[in-house]
Amino acid sequence: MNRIRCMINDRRYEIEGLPPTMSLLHYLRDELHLTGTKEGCNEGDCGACTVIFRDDSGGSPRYRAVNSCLVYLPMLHGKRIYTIEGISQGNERHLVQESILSHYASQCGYCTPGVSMSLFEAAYRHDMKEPWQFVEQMAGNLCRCTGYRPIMECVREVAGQGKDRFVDKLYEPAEGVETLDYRYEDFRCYVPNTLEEALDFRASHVDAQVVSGGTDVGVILNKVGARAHEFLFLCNIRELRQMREESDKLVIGATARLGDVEMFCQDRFKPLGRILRFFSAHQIKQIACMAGSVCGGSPVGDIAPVLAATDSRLCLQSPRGIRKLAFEDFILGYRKTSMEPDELLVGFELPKLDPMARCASYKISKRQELDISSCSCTFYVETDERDVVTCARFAYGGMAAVPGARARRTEAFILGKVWNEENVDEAARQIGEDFHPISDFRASAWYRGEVAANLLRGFYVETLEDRQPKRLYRPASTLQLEI
Amino acid sequence: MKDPNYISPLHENAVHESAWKHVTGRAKFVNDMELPKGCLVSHIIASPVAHGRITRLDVSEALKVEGVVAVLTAKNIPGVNDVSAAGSHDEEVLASSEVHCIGQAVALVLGESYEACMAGAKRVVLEIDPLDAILDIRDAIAKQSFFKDHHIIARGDLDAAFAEADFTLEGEVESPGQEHWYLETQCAQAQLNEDGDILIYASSQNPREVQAKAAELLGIPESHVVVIMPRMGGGFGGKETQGAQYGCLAALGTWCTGRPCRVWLNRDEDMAYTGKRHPFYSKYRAAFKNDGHILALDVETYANCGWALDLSLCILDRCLFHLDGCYYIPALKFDGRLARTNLPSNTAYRGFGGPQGFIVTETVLNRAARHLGIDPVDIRRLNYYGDAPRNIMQYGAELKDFRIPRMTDGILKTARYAERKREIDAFNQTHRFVKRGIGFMPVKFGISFTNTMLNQAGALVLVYTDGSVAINHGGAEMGQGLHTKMIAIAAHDLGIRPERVRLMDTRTDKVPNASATAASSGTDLNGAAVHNACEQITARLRRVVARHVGLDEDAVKNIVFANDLCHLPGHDPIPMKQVIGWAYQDRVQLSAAGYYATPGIGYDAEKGRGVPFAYYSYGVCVLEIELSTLTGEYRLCDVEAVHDVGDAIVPSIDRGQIEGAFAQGFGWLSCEELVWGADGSLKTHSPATYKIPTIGTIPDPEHFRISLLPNATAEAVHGSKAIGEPPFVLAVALVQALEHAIVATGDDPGRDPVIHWPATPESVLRAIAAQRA
Repeated sequence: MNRIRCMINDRRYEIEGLPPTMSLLHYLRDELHLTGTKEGCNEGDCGACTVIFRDDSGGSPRYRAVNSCLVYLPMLHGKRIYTIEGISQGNERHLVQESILSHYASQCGYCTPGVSMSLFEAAYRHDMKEPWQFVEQMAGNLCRCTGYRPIMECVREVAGQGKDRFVDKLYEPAEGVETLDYRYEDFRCYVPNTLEEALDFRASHVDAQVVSGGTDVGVILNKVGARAHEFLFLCNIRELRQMREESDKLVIGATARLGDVEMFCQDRFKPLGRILRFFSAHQIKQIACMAGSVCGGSPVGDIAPVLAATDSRLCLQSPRGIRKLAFEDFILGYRKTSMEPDELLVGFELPKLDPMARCASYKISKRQELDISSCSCTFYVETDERDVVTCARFAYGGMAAVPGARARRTEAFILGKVWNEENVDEAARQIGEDFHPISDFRASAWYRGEVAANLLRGFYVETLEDRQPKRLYRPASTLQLEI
Repeated sequence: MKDPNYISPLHENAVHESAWKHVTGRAKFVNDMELPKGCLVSHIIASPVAHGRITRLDVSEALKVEGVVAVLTAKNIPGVNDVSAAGSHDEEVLASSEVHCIGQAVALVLGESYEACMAGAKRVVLEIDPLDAILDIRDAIAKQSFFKDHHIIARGDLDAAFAEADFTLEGEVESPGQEHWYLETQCAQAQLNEDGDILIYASSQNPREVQAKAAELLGIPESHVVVIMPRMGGGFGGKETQGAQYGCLAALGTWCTGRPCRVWLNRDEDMAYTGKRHPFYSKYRAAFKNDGHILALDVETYANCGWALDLSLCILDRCLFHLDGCYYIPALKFDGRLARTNLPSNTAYRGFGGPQGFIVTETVLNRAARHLGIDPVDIRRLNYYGDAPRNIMQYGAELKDFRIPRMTDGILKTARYAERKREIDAFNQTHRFVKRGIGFMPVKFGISFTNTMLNQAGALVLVYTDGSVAINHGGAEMGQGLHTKMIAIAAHDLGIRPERVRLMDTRTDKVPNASATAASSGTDLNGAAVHNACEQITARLRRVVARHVGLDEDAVKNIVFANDLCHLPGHDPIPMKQVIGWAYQDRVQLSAAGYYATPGIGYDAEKGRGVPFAYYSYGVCVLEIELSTLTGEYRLCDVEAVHDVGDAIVPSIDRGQIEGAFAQGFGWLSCEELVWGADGSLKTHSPATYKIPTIGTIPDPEHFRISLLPNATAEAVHGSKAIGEPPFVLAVALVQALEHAIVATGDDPGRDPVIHWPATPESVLRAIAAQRA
């Protein structure tokens, strides 16, 4: 298959002769003249370009709101997409359009198409029950005019209320597509359907850029340009999206969508579930995955500290076989991993946490929603019956050149001591010995050092009663202290 | 006044005039328009140096790149190379010899595609000899880098007041800049027509200025430039003067190539190149009596203007006009200077210097209240304007119909201020890691352009023989609902159903010489002009009806046009279509040009005396926050606000303006931080690093209670008041709330907290550390 096949607003398209680095946003606007979808930032930080993907990659089908600026043409292969132009015909009013009108939720109207599509997804979701979910659903759509109050009224009104023809469309059988091998000038994009094909391609094309969710690669493509000419896209490999619970662990597929991982881990693996609530934005979480976050190796990655502190395993596969690594053995240095050129990261094994262990994740940023952390961390502590610390793993993001960096001296200090406020306070003073963070536009070194220590103190207090705390609605901080 | 016996859209909720187009994706912004045949796109080559002399600019290699059609520099400009606002002639469209900030346009690459333009841009040779750059306001003050204007408003005897004082306070307040972050970035498109005339589509709050500047640039009459403004995706002041640059570049491109041209900035370019809210640095001295009365306030304030004057002088004036807040200050000296720095030229932004003034005086009053150990609300009420002689403002004008005291009484009761404050204090006593704070803010905001000349507007109302109506006016729609209000006014005045009234794109060939849509004045000025045009038409229609029905002179005034019907005593209602048909048949003109100029205003900036404002808009706000003492993060828990909009033309629109302005004001003081590099480059040039509020920043609707002051008939069109900017200032309540919570983290309730704005988590954690040190 050498043409990209997709459906947009129920019309069939076969794409060829266009650069694969073209985003869906620009394809819609410049090629199809569907200019309802807007460009606000071209990096997934504003949501003006939000469109809907029908996801039928397993489980019950659902609509997903995604940022079209971060989706590239090869990723459309086999997909059904709806844009603002496709949700109503003539004078017919879709539920979300009616809702926006009745709450006066559009002013300048530039964010409105994107807002509409996030609302559209909400209309067909049936799992929105808790108040935080309404915030999470819409936090990826920036609006500079309304102050958001009417948008909140809309999402509360439409959530789960979609009962129209789009319900039928959701359950229309998916048309399978063959593996895509798309070429344009000196670009080659391979979009396989199976892991086996992907591994074969990887083994023979070690310089190919692997794209899992594409939300990180996409920003670089948009703002800097293509750094590779061969791309291996993992988005159509269903087996990599799977998640399952085993007796002693959770197994998360490399490209399981973060939004799904968040829901799956809510009660099963709270330190991850909680950090994902404050991770990027809803639309990003509908395509981004843990593999991308971890392989990108960004020092401010929020998932790495969770993996490092909970001693989770990464599963790497090549035609030679599978190997499982602890996170620390995976990350070698600044944006450097121990992955072999022919390997793919295929999944994660998260150990079931002992209910007596204390464990929580935190994230500090200028803005709680949709921001990159200035400091994030996960703490894990086991104690014996006398409250003496028998195991301590404190892993940080934003504090060192690598993500998930361990505070070794601090850990060593507390190990063997009684887990009490005095000792924790003294331990927190050691953080300054462990890390020498940088100052940048997110935070100063002083602030990073202060909060890194204070979060440990806060962790002590927060886990006094609930050892693996979940989230609260609208906390002042991811550190949820009520005392 | 609206007669309750007749149906009219006036004072009723209404959806935005374009809402249906917004939700279907059919609303076209300039960059959504189909590119005309042969249209070129462009890329701006901007200075990478904050200050320097251009020593080499060679575009020859770029022209060899496939797809590049032209590379324009200052040498290609046939007329005047200037895009400055307000006649300062200090801002080149393309830098000719010297660059004054990073991001200043030096050349424009025009090509068949953005890719070609980018490839061409890489081949342009630009060499600049760096000169000393001033990047910091303190540096500018030390080096006396000022624009020449120096405005002072003063009254009373400061020395005597300070001598008489029981206590005095001294300090400084630095208010931050702010990126507009309109969702739609700057964009313009131009084409050359057969008479050598230019048509420009521009996303601009000031199409007239785009027209005038483009005409001057090309050396052609203004009559040969037509600017059309379909709609903006937000403006907030950022497209008041600064849209002209891009309109001019598009015009120059089409003039030099003969092909249509589009100039569009992507987000990173827009944030890096365009000006922002002026940061202000203010030093104050204040004198008080022990009973809480303020005797004197002496403020030296410096606006960080960036490299060109732009609207800075008017912005400085508005700061000086609002340093009094809501308070009568017997002796005062407000001394304002304009600091010139090598940063992008700062410009209009919602509030226009007003918020930067308010925050100083509110900070002073908070300190005084702490010194005296009294509630910050009490010291405010004590110092409010009142009866003569306490009703004269710093510029000598008399304050009439001051609604703040009654609004204060109202909100303190409905928001349970005193009770909640006690609850919060008790909470703070028993919570180590979480502290709460409550803040109150009264706002008095002057309405009118501070440049008196701009307070005029025109409209052109066209009635067609089928009874449908088209309205043209000089105002620009940026989302604020101006057009929706104009429809309500015209439909009411003409008695035509709003569905039959069409609002046309803003065009300089329909209404000439319009002022910018700014200063919250869009509805006041254009609404009055539309009203004036409609009155002319209805006066004619009344005479037509009288003639056809046979009414005497006296009965004519009893005719009411409403909801497509003409009502008159003793007759069945007559369809408006019939009335209009009679008028046409009788050869009576069915269109009218309306005009309005705000009466009774005038200000002498040299003397610092006069009546700069037609009236004042009022608002009050109570908000509550909760912070984490370990991280400095905080959450806005609850907001209650009441705003005075007179008799709202369209209440749903006004409510939206208040909520949106509050959120923007809250962003200004909390999460929106501009970070500049040591070289003068903006480090936070995308939403990845510059954070405006999200839906998570704003409390749930139950905790975000905004209402309009009832029974508030006022002086502007149909009893309304202006709304765009004043509610931005409500968010200054955050100052008091944060101070309240931060003081609670220390042991000394009399100790003044020091908050660096915007109050990011880091800023708050530093303030907490200082409070405890």
